[in-house]
Amino acid sequence: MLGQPCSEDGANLPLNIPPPPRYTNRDPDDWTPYRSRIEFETAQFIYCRAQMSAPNIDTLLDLWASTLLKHNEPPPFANHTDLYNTIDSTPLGDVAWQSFSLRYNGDEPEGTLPQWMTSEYDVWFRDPHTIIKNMIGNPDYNHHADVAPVRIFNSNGSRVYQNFMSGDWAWEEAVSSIFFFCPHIFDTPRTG
Amino acid sequence: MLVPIILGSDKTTVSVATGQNEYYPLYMSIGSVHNNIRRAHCGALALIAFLAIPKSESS
Repeated sequence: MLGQPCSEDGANLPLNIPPPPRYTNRDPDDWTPYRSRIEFETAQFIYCRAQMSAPNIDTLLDLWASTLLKHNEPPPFANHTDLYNTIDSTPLGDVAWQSFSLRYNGDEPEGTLPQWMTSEYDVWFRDPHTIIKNMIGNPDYNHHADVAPVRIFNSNGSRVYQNFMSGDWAWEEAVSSIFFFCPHIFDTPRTG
Repeated sequence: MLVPIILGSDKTTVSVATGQNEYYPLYMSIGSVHNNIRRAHCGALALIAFLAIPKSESS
């Protein structure tokens, strides 16, 4: 239970190996709704990193347009509205919504059926397995997630509960006979 | 690898021009991610479904 990374068939991997690329159906060169990687990186720089005001974005894009004029090419965005619209139309995650219909199919009572027994209901969902794979593979959570349950003790020897994986539930879910043969950080074998 | 799955749902009322609609969004997170990250809009809490809630009419 050291949380060492391993391959799909269980072979141990080096500790600092980066996770595999995020699962997606899209072509690696497909930056839609951005026309190119440069356009995406421009938007990320202006909006996320520089957090530029709308008038400054317009000034920058005007200067950009005038330098590209002689090559007869447009700037990455026409103005701040074009930039904002492109960012707003960026899909969040790659997991598509799906739906199915269902209705009551159990025993029917005599007399008039209540409406809910005869109605059809739509359920909309996204594949949870893919979403979980994306969460586990998200590099933003590096050093902010536990891959194995932990028991944390302070200098007085008292138990410290901090995150989900430091709790008893996670610990007890993961305990197996193999566990007792593994070294662990704190010498506190579970008893009882 | 242990990946605990956390699910939660709460009724949400959405008012639009055509009237009031009630939705039952289902959220999912994983227990491995630290609490401060789950609270920080980093995509660790994902909307995975809208549940269908049959209503019994009161007569």
